[in-house]
Amino acid sequence: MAVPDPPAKPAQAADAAAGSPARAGAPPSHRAEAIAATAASSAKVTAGTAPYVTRPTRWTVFLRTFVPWQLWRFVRINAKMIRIIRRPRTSRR
Amino acid sequence: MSRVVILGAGISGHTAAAFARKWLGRDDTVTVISPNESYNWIPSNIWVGVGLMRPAQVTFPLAPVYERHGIEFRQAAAREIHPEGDDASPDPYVVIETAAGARERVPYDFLINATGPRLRFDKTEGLGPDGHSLSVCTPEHAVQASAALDEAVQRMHRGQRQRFLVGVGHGTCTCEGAAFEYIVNLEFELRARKVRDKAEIIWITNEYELGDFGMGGMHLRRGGYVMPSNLFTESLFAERGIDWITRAHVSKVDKDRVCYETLDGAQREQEFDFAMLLPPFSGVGLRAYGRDGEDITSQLFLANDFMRVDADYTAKPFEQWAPGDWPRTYQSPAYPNVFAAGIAFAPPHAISLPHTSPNGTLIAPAPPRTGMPSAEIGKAVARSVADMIRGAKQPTHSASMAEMGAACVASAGAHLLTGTAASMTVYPIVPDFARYPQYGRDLNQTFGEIGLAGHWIKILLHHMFLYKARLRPGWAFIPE
Repeated sequence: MAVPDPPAKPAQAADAAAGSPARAGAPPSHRAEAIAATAASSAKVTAGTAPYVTRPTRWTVFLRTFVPWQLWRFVRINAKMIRIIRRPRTSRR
Repeated sequence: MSRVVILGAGISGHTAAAFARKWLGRDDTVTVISPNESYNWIPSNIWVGVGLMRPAQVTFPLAPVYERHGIEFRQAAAREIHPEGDDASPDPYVVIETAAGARERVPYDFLINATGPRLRFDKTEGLGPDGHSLSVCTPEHAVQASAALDEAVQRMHRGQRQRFLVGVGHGTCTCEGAAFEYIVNLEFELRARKVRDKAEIIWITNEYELGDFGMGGMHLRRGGYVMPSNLFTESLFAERGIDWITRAHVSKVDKDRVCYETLDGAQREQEFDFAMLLPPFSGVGLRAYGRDGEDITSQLFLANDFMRVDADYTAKPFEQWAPGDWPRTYQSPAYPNVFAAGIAFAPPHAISLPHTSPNGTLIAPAPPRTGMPSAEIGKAVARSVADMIRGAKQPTHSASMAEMGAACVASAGAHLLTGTAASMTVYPIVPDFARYPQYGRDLNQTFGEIGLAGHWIKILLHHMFLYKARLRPGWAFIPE
Protein backbone atom coordinates (compact mmCIF):
# COMPACT_ATOMS: atom_id res chain seq x y z
CA MET A 1 0.00 0.00 0.00
CA ALA A 2 1.33 3.39 -0.90
CA VAL A 3 2.31 5.64 1.96
CA PRO A 4 1.75 9.23 0.91
CA ASP A 5 3.98 11.94 2.22
CA PRO A 6 2.07 14.03 4.70
CA PRO A 7 1.31 17.60 3.70
CA ALA A 8 4.13 19.80 4.82
CA LYS A 9 3.50 21.75 7.98
CA PRO A 10 3.46 25.46 7.21
CA ALA A 11 6.61 26.12 9.16
CA GLN A 12 8.33 23.13 7.63
CA ALA A 13 7.33 24.11 4.12
CA ALA A 14 8.52 27.64 4.65
CA ASP A 15 11.71 26.24 6.10
CA ALA A 16 12.30 24.20 2.98
CA ALA A 17 11.74 27.19 0.76
CA ALA A 18 13.86 29.59 2.71
CA GLY A 19 17.61 29.96 2.45
CA SER A 20 20.00 28.46 4.95
CA PRO A 21 20.37 31.57 7.12
CA ALA A 22 16.69 31.36 8.08
CA ARG A 23 17.00 27.67 8.84
CA ALA A 24 20.08 28.18 10.90
CA GLY A 25 18.05 30.45 13.12
CA ALA A 26 15.19 27.99 13.60
CA PRO A 27 14.45 27.09 17.22
CA PRO A 28 15.87 23.69 18.25
CA SER A 29 12.45 22.36 19.26
CA HIS A 30 11.06 23.05 15.80
CA ARG A 31 14.04 21.34 14.19
CA ALA A 32 13.70 18.25 16.37
CA GLU A 33 9.98 18.01 15.69
CA ALA A 34 10.46 18.34 11.96
CA ILE A 35 13.26 15.77 11.93
CA ALA A 36 11.09 13.27 13.78
CA ALA A 37 8.12 13.88 11.49
CA THR A 38 10.24 13.46 8.39
CA ALA A 39 11.95 10.31 9.59
CA ALA A 40 8.71 8.64 10.63
CA SER A 41 6.66 9.10 7.50
CA SER A 42 8.73 9.78 4.44
CA ALA A 43 11.87 8.88 2.55
CA LYS A 44 12.30 12.57 1.87
CA VAL A 45 15.08 14.43 3.63
CA THR A 46 14.00 17.97 4.28
CA ALA A 47 16.95 20.22 3.60
CA GLY A 48 16.04 22.67 6.31
CA THR A 49 16.06 20.06 9.02
CA ALA A 50 18.66 17.56 7.84
CA PRO A 51 20.71 17.26 11.00
CA TYR A 52 24.13 16.12 9.78
CA VAL A 53 24.56 18.02 6.56
CA THR A 54 27.77 19.95 5.91
CA ARG A 55 27.06 23.60 5.25
CA PRO A 56 29.41 26.24 3.90
CA THR A 57 30.54 29.12 6.07
CA ARG A 58 29.55 32.66 5.10
CA TRP A 59 33.15 33.27 4.05
CA THR A 60 33.08 30.29 1.69
CA VAL A 61 29.80 31.45 0.19
CA PHE A 62 31.22 34.94 -0.24
CA LEU A 63 34.32 33.67 -2.00
CA ARG A 64 32.25 31.68 -4.48
CA THR A 65 31.17 34.83 -6.24
CA PHE A 66 33.99 37.21 -5.23
CA VAL A 67 35.32 38.13 -8.64
CA PRO A 68 39.06 38.64 -7.86
CA TRP A 69 39.21 35.27 -6.08
CA GLN A 70 37.21 33.61 -8.83
CA LEU A 71 39.54 34.97 -11.51
CA TRP A 72 42.35 33.15 -9.71
CA ARG A 73 40.20 30.01 -9.40
CA PHE A 74 39.39 30.25 -13.11
CA VAL A 75 43.10 29.96 -13.86
CA ARG A 76 43.64 27.17 -11.32
CA ILE A 77 40.64 25.08 -12.37
CA ASN A 78 41.56 25.41 -16.03
CA ALA A 79 45.08 24.27 -15.19
CA LYS A 80 43.73 21.23 -13.35
CA MET A 81 41.41 20.38 -16.22
CA ILE A 82 44.16 20.78 -18.80
CA ARG A 83 46.21 18.32 -16.73
CA ILE A 84 43.42 15.76 -17.05
CA ILE A 85 42.86 16.57 -20.72
CA ARG A 86 46.55 16.32 -21.62
CA ARG A 87 46.94 13.02 -19.78
CA PRO A 88 46.86 10.29 -22.44
CA ARG A 89 43.29 9.05 -22.61
CA THR A 90 43.59 7.06 -25.76
CA SER A 91 46.53 4.77 -26.12
CA ARG A 92 48.18 3.19 -29.07
CA ARG A 93 48.01 -0.58 -28.82
CA MET B 1 38.57 2.97 -51.57
CA SER B 2 36.80 2.21 -48.30
CA ARG B 3 33.37 3.14 -47.11
CA VAL B 4 32.98 4.14 -43.46
CA VAL B 5 29.40 4.43 -42.28
CA ILE B 6 28.60 6.05 -38.95
CA LEU B 7 25.18 5.60 -37.40
CA GLY B 8 24.33 8.63 -35.29
CA ALA B 9 25.45 12.26 -35.20
CA GLY B 10 25.58 12.91 -31.49
CA ILE B 11 28.72 13.75 -29.57
CA SER B 12 30.39 10.40 -30.26
CA GLY B 13 29.21 9.84 -33.84
CA HIS B 14 29.93 13.41 -34.91
CA THR B 15 33.42 13.27 -33.38
CA ALA B 16 34.10 9.93 -35.08
CA ALA B 17 32.89 11.29 -38.44
CA ALA B 18 34.99 14.44 -38.20
CA PHE B 19 38.19 12.60 -37.32
CA ALA B 20 37.56 9.78 -39.79
CA ARG B 21 37.23 12.37 -42.53
CA LYS B 22 40.38 14.12 -41.36
CA TRP B 23 42.45 10.92 -41.23
CA LEU B 24 41.11 9.09 -44.28
CA GLY B 25 42.08 9.70 -47.86
CA ARG B 26 39.84 11.49 -50.33
CA ASP B 27 39.13 8.17 -52.06
CA ASP B 28 37.54 6.86 -48.91
CA THR B 29 33.98 7.88 -48.10
CA VAL B 30 32.52 8.79 -44.74
CA THR B 31 28.74 8.62 -44.46
CA VAL B 32 26.77 9.75 -41.43
CA ILE B 33 23.23 8.46 -40.95
CA SER B 34 21.09 10.23 -38.41
CA PRO B 35 17.34 10.77 -38.07
CA ASN B 36 18.05 14.28 -36.77
CA GLU B 37 18.82 17.10 -39.17
CA SER B 38 20.61 19.07 -36.47
CA TYR B 39 23.49 18.57 -34.11
CA ASN B 40 22.50 19.16 -30.48
CA TRP B 41 25.01 20.17 -27.82
CA ILE B 42 23.03 18.25 -25.22
CA PRO B 43 24.83 19.52 -22.08
CA SER B 44 23.34 22.97 -22.67
CA ASN B 45 19.75 21.67 -22.98
CA ILE B 46 19.32 22.35 -19.27
CA TRP B 47 19.57 26.07 -20.00
CA VAL B 48 16.88 25.74 -22.66
CA GLY B 49 14.78 23.94 -20.06
CA VAL B 50 14.86 26.91 -17.69
CA GLY B 51 14.31 29.47 -20.45
CA LEU B 52 17.82 30.90 -20.54
CA MET B 53 18.63 29.72 -24.05
CA ARG B 54 16.74 29.12 -27.26
CA PRO B 55 17.00 25.79 -29.10
CA ALA B 56 18.86 27.56 -31.90
CA GLN B 57 21.65 28.31 -29.44
CA VAL B 58 22.29 24.63 -28.73
CA THR B 59 21.73 23.20 -32.22
CA PHE B 60 22.88 23.76 -35.80
CA PRO B 61 22.05 22.02 -39.11
CA LEU B 62 24.42 19.18 -39.91
CA ALA B 63 24.06 19.07 -43.70
CA PRO B 64 26.02 22.26 -44.54
CA VAL B 65 28.84 21.34 -42.15
CA TYR B 66 29.15 17.85 -43.61
CA GLU B 67 28.93 19.13 -47.16
CA ARG B 68 31.75 21.57 -46.51
CA HIS B 69 33.97 18.79 -45.17
CA GLY B 70 33.18 16.06 -47.67
CA ILE B 71 31.10 13.90 -45.36
CA GLU B 72 28.00 12.36 -46.87
CA PHE B 73 24.90 12.89 -44.72
CA ARG B 74 21.72 10.83 -44.90
CA GLN B 75 18.83 11.95 -42.73
CA ALA B 76 17.29 8.62 -41.84
CA ALA B 77 17.09 6.10 -39.04
CA ALA B 78 19.17 2.93 -39.17
CA ARG B 79 16.99 -0.17 -38.85
CA GLU B 80 19.03 -3.26 -39.73
CA ILE B 81 22.63 -4.36 -39.94
CA HIS B 82 23.56 -7.07 -42.41
CA PRO B 83 27.22 -7.69 -41.52
CA GLU B 84 27.52 -10.63 -43.92
CA GLY B 85 25.59 -9.10 -46.80
CA ASP B 86 22.97 -11.37 -48.32
CA ASP B 87 22.54 -14.04 -50.96
CA ALA B 88 23.15 -11.59 -53.77
CA SER B 89 26.38 -10.11 -52.40
CA PRO B 90 28.68 -10.68 -49.42
CA ASP B 91 29.17 -6.93 -48.99
CA PRO B 92 27.89 -5.80 -45.60
CA TYR B 93 25.24 -3.12 -45.49
CA VAL B 94 22.79 -1.33 -43.24
CA VAL B 95 19.14 -0.70 -43.99
CA ILE B 96 18.01 2.83 -43.29
CA GLU B 97 14.54 4.34 -43.25
CA THR B 98 13.67 7.95 -43.98
CA ALA B 99 10.95 9.89 -42.19
CA ALA B 100 8.72 9.25 -45.21
CA GLY B 101 9.14 5.51 -44.70
CA ALA B 102 11.40 4.82 -47.67
CA ARG B 103 13.94 2.05 -47.03
CA GLU B 104 17.36 1.92 -48.56
CA ARG B 105 20.57 -0.12 -48.33
CA VAL B 106 23.81 1.60 -47.48
CA PRO B 107 26.89 -0.60 -48.00
CA TYR B 108 29.90 -0.27 -45.73
CA ASP B 109 33.39 -1.58 -45.18
CA PHE B 110 33.56 -0.28 -41.63
CA LEU B 111 30.57 0.51 -39.45
CA ILE B 112 30.58 2.68 -36.33
CA ASN B 113 27.40 2.40 -34.31
CA ALA B 114 27.02 5.66 -32.38
CA THR B 115 23.25 5.73 -32.27
CA GLY B 116 23.07 6.91 -28.67
CA PRO B 117 20.17 5.95 -26.45
CA ARG B 118 16.54 5.26 -26.97
CA LEU B 119 14.68 7.26 -24.32
CA ARG B 120 12.63 4.61 -22.52
CA PHE B 121 9.80 6.70 -21.12
CA ASP B 122 7.70 3.56 -21.61
CA LYS B 123 9.54 1.82 -18.75
CA THR B 124 7.58 3.86 -16.21
CA GLU B 125 3.85 4.37 -16.56
CA GLY B 126 3.02 8.03 -17.15
CA LEU B 127 6.65 9.11 -17.52
CA GLY B 128 7.64 11.66 -20.14
CA PRO B 129 6.24 14.51 -22.21
CA ASP B 130 3.51 12.22 -23.57
CA GLY B 131 2.60 11.40 -19.97
CA HIS B 132 2.73 13.62 -16.93
CA SER B 133 6.37 14.62 -16.58
CA LEU B 134 8.86 16.72 -18.48
CA SER B 135 12.33 16.05 -19.81
CA VAL B 136 15.34 17.97 -21.13
CA CYS B 137 16.77 15.12 -23.22
CA THR B 138 16.07 16.89 -26.52
CA PRO B 139 15.69 20.58 -27.41
CA GLU B 140 11.96 20.01 -28.01
CA HIS B 141 11.55 18.46 -24.58
CA ALA B 142 13.52 21.30 -23.03
CA VAL B 143 11.28 23.90 -24.69
CA GLN B 144 8.24 22.16 -23.18
CA ALA B 145 9.91 22.17 -19.77
CA SER B 146 10.65 25.86 -20.11
CA ALA B 147 7.03 26.64 -21.04
CA ALA B 148 5.77 24.61 -18.08
CA LEU B 149 8.18 26.47 -15.82
CA ASP B 150 6.85 29.81 -17.09
CA GLU B 151 3.30 28.71 -16.27
CA ALA B 152 4.34 27.58 -12.80
CA VAL B 153 6.06 30.91 -12.18
CA GLN B 154 2.91 32.75 -13.24
CA ARG B 155 0.91 30.73 -10.72
CA MET B 156 3.46 31.60 -8.05
CA HIS B 157 3.20 35.27 -8.95
CA ARG B 158 -0.53 34.89 -8.30
CA GLY B 159 0.31 33.62 -4.82
CA GLN B 160 0.04 29.86 -5.31
CA ARG B 161 2.71 27.56 -3.87
CA GLN B 162 4.24 25.11 -6.33
CA ARG B 163 6.05 21.83 -5.71
CA PHE B 164 8.84 20.97 -8.16
CA LEU B 165 10.05 17.39 -8.44
CA VAL B 166 13.26 16.81 -10.40
CA GLY B 167 15.39 13.72 -10.86
CA VAL B 168 15.18 10.35 -12.53
CA GLY B 169 12.05 8.44 -13.45
CA HIS B 170 13.21 4.86 -12.97
CA GLY B 171 15.44 2.81 -10.69
CA THR B 172 17.97 2.07 -13.43
CA CYS B 173 18.38 5.53 -14.95
CA THR B 174 21.68 7.17 -15.73
CA CYS B 175 22.49 10.86 -16.34
CA GLU B 176 21.79 11.91 -12.75
CA GLY B 177 24.31 14.69 -13.41
CA ALA B 178 22.08 16.31 -16.03
CA ALA B 179 19.07 16.20 -13.72
CA PHE B 180 21.26 17.61 -10.94
CA GLU B 181 22.22 20.53 -13.16
CA TYR B 182 18.60 21.13 -13.99
CA ILE B 183 17.42 21.23 -10.38
CA VAL B 184 20.06 23.69 -9.21
CA ASN B 185 19.49 25.88 -12.26
CA LEU B 186 15.76 25.72 -11.62
CA GLU B 187 16.30 26.85 -8.03
CA PHE B 188 18.56 29.68 -9.20
CA GLU B 189 16.03 30.75 -11.81
CA LEU B 190 13.16 30.77 -9.31
CA ARG B 191 15.23 33.06 -7.11
CA ALA B 192 15.99 35.27 -10.11
CA ARG B 193 12.26 35.48 -10.88
CA LYS B 194 11.60 36.32 -7.21
CA VAL B 195 9.24 33.44 -6.52
CA ARG B 196 11.56 31.13 -4.58
CA ASP B 197 9.54 31.60 -1.38
CA LYS B 198 6.55 30.03 -3.13
CA ALA B 199 8.41 26.92 -4.25
CA GLU B 200 9.16 23.60 -2.67
CA ILE B 201 11.87 21.77 -4.64
CA ILE B 202 12.49 18.05 -4.28
CA TRP B 203 15.18 15.86 -5.81
CA ILE B 204 14.31 12.21 -6.42
CA THR B 205 17.06 9.80 -7.40
CA ASN B 206 18.01 6.16 -7.68
CA GLU B 207 21.43 6.92 -6.20
CA TYR B 208 22.24 5.24 -2.89
CA GLU B 209 23.79 8.48 -1.71
CA LEU B 210 23.67 11.95 -3.20
CA GLY B 211 26.70 12.66 -5.37
CA ASP B 212 26.99 9.08 -6.65
CA PHE B 213 26.18 10.15 -10.25
CA GLY B 214 26.33 6.54 -11.41
CA MET B 215 30.08 6.32 -10.92
CA GLY B 216 30.15 5.29 -7.30
CA GLY B 217 30.64 8.88 -6.17
CA MET B 218 34.15 10.15 -5.65
CA HIS B 219 36.47 11.25 -2.90
CA LEU B 220 38.06 14.65 -2.68
CA ARG B 221 40.76 16.17 -0.52
CA ARG B 222 39.39 19.15 1.35
CA GLY B 223 40.36 20.91 4.56
CA GLY B 224 42.72 18.19 5.71
CA TYR B 225 40.22 15.39 5.08
CA VAL B 226 39.38 13.04 2.26
CA MET B 227 35.65 13.51 1.87
CA PRO B 228 33.03 11.59 -0.11
CA SER B 229 31.12 13.55 -2.74
CA ASN B 230 27.78 13.08 -0.98
CA LEU B 231 28.89 15.67 1.61
CA PHE B 232 29.29 18.28 -1.08
CA THR B 233 26.06 17.44 -2.86
CA GLU B 234 24.06 17.41 0.36
CA SER B 235 25.63 20.70 1.34
CA LEU B 236 24.73 22.19 -2.02
CA PHE B 237 21.11 21.06 -1.70
CA ALA B 238 20.76 22.05 1.95
CA GLU B 239 22.17 25.48 1.22
CA ARG B 240 19.57 25.97 -1.50
CA GLY B 241 16.68 24.52 0.47
CA ILE B 242 16.29 21.54 -1.88
CA ASP B 243 14.85 18.41 -0.26
CA TRP B 244 15.89 14.98 -1.47
CA ILE B 245 14.69 11.43 -1.83
CA THR B 246 17.41 8.85 -2.49
CA ARG B 247 17.36 5.10 -3.26
CA ALA B 248 14.08 5.49 -5.13
CA HIS B 249 12.58 3.67 -8.09
CA VAL B 250 9.76 5.67 -9.65
CA SER B 251 7.13 3.15 -10.71
CA LYS B 252 4.33 5.41 -11.89
CA VAL B 253 3.78 9.05 -12.73
CA ASP B 254 0.26 10.38 -12.34
CA LYS B 255 -1.02 13.83 -13.16
CA ASP B 256 -0.03 15.26 -9.80
CA ARG B 257 2.04 12.61 -8.04
CA VAL B 258 4.66 9.92 -8.50
CA CYS B 259 4.55 6.49 -6.92
CA TYR B 260 7.94 5.23 -5.95
CA GLU B 261 9.55 2.35 -4.15
CA THR B 262 12.51 2.82 -1.88
CA LEU B 263 15.26 0.36 -1.19
CA ASP B 264 13.58 -0.77 2.02
CA GLY B 265 10.68 -2.02 -0.12
CA ALA B 266 8.23 0.67 1.01
CA GLN B 267 5.83 2.05 -1.58
CA ARG B 268 5.43 5.80 -1.29
CA GLU B 269 3.98 8.76 -3.12
CA GLN B 270 5.16 12.28 -3.74
CA GLU B 271 2.88 15.02 -5.00
CA PHE B 272 4.10 17.59 -7.50
CA ASP B 273 2.96 20.48 -9.64
CA PHE B 274 5.95 20.30 -12.00
CA ALA B 275 8.03 17.18 -12.59
CA MET B 276 11.18 16.91 -14.73
CA LEU B 277 12.22 13.26 -14.60
CA LEU B 278 14.79 11.75 -16.92
CA PRO B 279 14.01 8.36 -18.49
CA PRO B 280 16.11 5.20 -18.47
CA PHE B 281 18.04 4.41 -21.63
CA SER B 282 18.38 1.40 -23.87
CA GLY B 283 19.91 0.88 -27.29
CA VAL B 284 17.87 2.09 -30.24
CA GLY B 285 16.70 -1.40 -31.20
CA LEU B 286 18.75 -2.15 -34.33
CA ARG B 287 18.25 -5.66 -35.69
CA ALA B 288 21.00 -7.74 -37.27
CA TYR B 289 20.63 -10.44 -39.91
CA GLY B 290 22.99 -13.04 -41.27
CA ARG B 291 23.68 -13.91 -44.88
CA ASP B 292 20.72 -16.28 -45.04
CA GLY B 293 18.43 -13.79 -43.41
CA GLU B 294 18.50 -15.40 -39.96
CA ASP B 295 18.20 -13.07 -36.98
CA ILE B 296 21.64 -12.65 -35.40
CA THR B 297 20.75 -9.65 -33.27
CA SER B 298 21.85 -11.45 -30.10
CA GLN B 299 25.34 -11.88 -31.54
CA LEU B 300 25.76 -8.14 -31.92
CA PHE B 301 23.61 -6.77 -29.12
CA LEU B 302 22.76 -7.48 -25.51
CA ALA B 303 19.17 -7.77 -24.36
CA ASN B 304 19.12 -4.03 -23.57
CA ASP B 305 19.91 -3.35 -27.26
CA PHE B 306 23.34 -1.92 -26.52
CA MET B 307 26.09 -3.30 -28.75
CA ARG B 308 28.47 -6.01 -27.57
CA VAL B 309 32.06 -4.88 -27.80
CA ASP B 310 35.37 -6.10 -26.40
CA ALA B 311 34.18 -5.99 -22.78
CA ASP B 312 33.93 -8.88 -20.34
CA TYR B 313 30.19 -9.47 -20.04
CA THR B 314 30.52 -12.44 -17.70
CA ALA B 315 28.02 -12.03 -14.88
CA LYS B 316 29.92 -11.69 -11.62
CA PRO B 317 29.42 -10.19 -8.18
CA PHE B 318 30.41 -6.62 -7.39
CA GLU B 319 33.52 -7.74 -5.49
CA GLN B 320 34.90 -9.28 -8.68
CA TRP B 321 34.30 -6.33 -10.96
CA ALA B 322 37.59 -5.15 -12.41
CA PRO B 323 38.79 -2.30 -14.63
CA GLY B 324 39.75 -4.95 -17.19
CA ASP B 325 36.06 -5.73 -17.69
CA TRP B 326 35.66 -2.43 -19.51
CA PRO B 327 36.10 -2.29 -23.28
CA ARG B 328 39.24 -0.81 -24.79
CA THR B 329 38.80 -0.81 -28.57
CA TYR B 330 34.97 -0.94 -28.85
CA GLN B 331 35.25 -3.52 -31.63
CA SER B 332 32.48 -6.08 -32.03
CA PRO B 333 33.79 -9.53 -31.13
CA ALA B 334 31.58 -11.02 -33.86
CA TYR B 335 32.51 -8.72 -36.74
CA PRO B 336 35.89 -6.95 -36.69
CA ASN B 337 34.72 -4.20 -39.03
CA VAL B 338 31.92 -3.16 -36.66
CA PHE B 339 32.46 -0.81 -33.72
CA ALA B 340 30.24 0.92 -31.17
CA ALA B 341 30.98 4.31 -29.64
CA GLY B 342 29.41 6.49 -26.97
CA ILE B 343 26.21 5.39 -25.30
CA ALA B 344 25.63 2.72 -27.97
CA PHE B 345 28.22 0.31 -26.53
CA ALA B 346 27.09 -2.07 -23.83
CA PRO B 347 28.92 -1.48 -20.56
CA PRO B 348 29.96 -4.71 -18.82
CA HIS B 349 28.19 -3.72 -15.60
CA ALA B 350 27.43 -0.71 -13.48
CA ILE B 351 30.11 1.30 -11.69
CA SER B 352 28.08 2.00 -8.54
CA LEU B 353 27.25 -0.84 -6.20
CA PRO B 354 23.84 -2.10 -7.34
CA HIS B 355 21.05 -2.57 -4.80
CA THR B 356 17.82 -4.53 -4.92
CA SER B 357 14.78 -3.89 -2.76
CA PRO B 358 13.12 -6.74 -0.81
CA ASN B 359 10.54 -6.79 -3.65
CA GLY B 360 13.29 -7.59 -6.15
CA THR B 361 13.34 -4.12 -7.70
CA LEU B 362 16.77 -3.11 -8.96
CA ILE B 363 17.60 0.38 -7.79
CA ALA B 364 20.98 1.20 -9.23
CA PRO B 365 22.24 4.01 -11.43
CA ALA B 366 23.55 2.88 -14.82
CA PRO B 367 27.08 4.02 -15.66
CA PRO B 368 27.36 7.41 -17.37
CA ARG B 369 29.16 7.46 -20.72
CA THR B 370 28.26 10.82 -22.13
CA GLY B 371 30.23 13.97 -22.86
CA MET B 372 33.98 13.75 -22.72
CA PRO B 373 34.29 9.92 -22.59
CA SER B 374 31.81 9.64 -25.44
CA ALA B 375 33.85 11.93 -27.66
CA GLU B 376 37.12 10.27 -26.65
CA ILE B 377 35.74 6.86 -27.59
CA GLY B 378 34.50 8.19 -30.95
CA LYS B 379 37.95 9.62 -31.68
CA ALA B 380 39.80 6.41 -30.71
CA VAL B 381 37.46 4.30 -32.84
CA ALA B 382 37.92 6.63 -35.83
CA ARG B 383 41.70 6.35 -35.41
CA SER B 384 41.56 2.55 -35.31
CA VAL B 385 39.28 2.40 -38.36
CA ALA B 386 41.57 4.72 -40.32
CA ASP B 387 44.58 2.57 -39.43
CA MET B 388 42.76 -0.65 -40.31
CA ILE B 389 41.86 0.80 -43.68
CA ARG B 390 45.56 1.44 -44.19
CA GLY B 391 46.35 -2.17 -43.40
CA ALA B 392 46.42 -2.65 -39.63
CA LYS B 393 45.10 -6.08 -38.70
CA GLN B 394 43.39 -4.99 -35.50
CA PRO B 395 42.31 -1.80 -33.74
CA THR B 396 45.32 0.39 -33.03
CA HIS B 397 43.86 2.71 -30.41
CA SER B 398 42.05 2.20 -27.16
CA ALA B 399 40.02 4.44 -24.86
CA SER B 400 39.03 2.48 -21.80
CA MET B 401 36.92 4.31 -19.25
CA ALA B 402 39.03 2.56 -16.63
CA GLU B 403 42.13 4.34 -17.95
CA MET B 404 40.54 7.65 -18.85
CA GLY B 405 39.91 10.73 -16.74
CA ALA B 406 37.07 13.14 -17.23
CA ALA B 407 36.51 16.81 -16.58
CA CYS B 408 32.98 17.96 -15.94
CA VAL B 409 31.41 21.30 -15.16
CA ALA B 410 27.91 21.15 -13.70
CA SER B 411 26.10 24.45 -13.86
CA ALA B 412 24.46 25.53 -10.62
CA GLY B 413 23.08 28.87 -11.75
CA ALA B 414 23.66 30.92 -14.88
CA HIS B 415 24.68 34.54 -14.34
CA LEU B 416 27.92 36.25 -15.27
CA LEU B 417 28.49 37.63 -11.76
CA THR B 418 26.26 35.62 -9.42
CA GLY B 419 26.11 32.25 -11.16
CA THR B 420 28.06 29.23 -9.98
CA ALA B 421 29.03 25.80 -11.24
CA ALA B 422 30.63 22.73 -9.77
CA SER B 423 33.89 22.00 -11.56
CA MET B 424 35.10 18.45 -11.25
CA THR B 425 37.80 16.21 -12.56
CA VAL B 426 37.97 12.52 -11.91
CA TYR B 427 40.65 9.98 -12.75
CA PRO B 428 39.96 7.29 -13.73
CA ILE B 429 36.23 7.26 -14.45
CA VAL B 430 35.93 3.60 -13.50
CA PRO B 431 37.61 3.17 -10.11
CA ASP B 432 40.74 1.04 -10.14
CA PHE B 433 41.35 -0.36 -6.67
CA ALA B 434 44.44 -2.23 -7.82
CA ARG B 435 46.23 1.00 -8.70
CA TYR B 436 44.55 3.21 -6.10
CA PRO B 437 43.71 0.81 -3.27
CA GLN B 438 42.03 3.15 -0.83
CA TYR B 439 39.63 5.17 -2.96
CA GLY B 440 39.95 3.65 -6.43
CA ARG B 441 41.00 6.96 -7.93
CA ASP B 442 44.00 9.26 -8.06
CA LEU B 443 43.22 11.95 -5.47
CA ASN B 444 45.79 14.27 -7.05
CA GLN B 445 43.65 14.38 -10.16
CA THR B 446 40.22 14.05 -8.64
CA PHE B 447 38.91 17.35 -7.34
CA GLY B 448 35.81 19.45 -7.21
CA GLU B 449 34.85 22.97 -6.22
CA ILE B 450 31.94 25.27 -6.70
CA GLY B 451 32.10 28.88 -7.71
CA LEU B 452 31.59 31.58 -10.29
CA ALA B 453 34.76 30.49 -12.12
CA GLY B 454 33.03 27.20 -12.91
CA HIS B 455 30.18 29.09 -14.56
CA TRP B 456 32.63 31.05 -16.70
CA ILE B 457 34.25 27.76 -17.72
CA LYS B 458 30.83 26.29 -18.51
CA ILE B 459 30.05 29.22 -20.81
CA LEU B 460 33.47 28.94 -22.41
CA LEU B 461 32.98 25.21 -23.01
CA HIS B 462 29.52 25.78 -24.50
CA HIS B 463 30.91 28.11 -27.17
CA MET B 464 34.16 26.19 -27.65
CA PHE B 465 32.50 22.82 -28.19
CA LEU B 466 29.88 24.24 -30.55
CA TYR B 467 32.71 25.87 -32.51
CA LYS B 468 34.49 22.53 -32.64
CA ALA B 469 31.32 20.67 -33.64
CA ARG B 470 30.79 23.13 -36.50
CA LEU B 471 34.25 22.03 -37.67
CA ARG B 472 35.45 25.61 -37.93
CA PRO B 473 39.16 26.32 -38.56
CA GLY B 474 41.37 24.70 -35.95
CA TRP B 475 38.56 22.49 -34.59
CA ALA B 476 40.85 19.49 -34.23
CA PHE B 477 43.06 21.37 -31.74
CA ILE B 478 40.18 21.75 -29.29
CA PRO B 479 40.23 18.77 -26.93
CA GLU B 480 37.25 16.47 -26.61
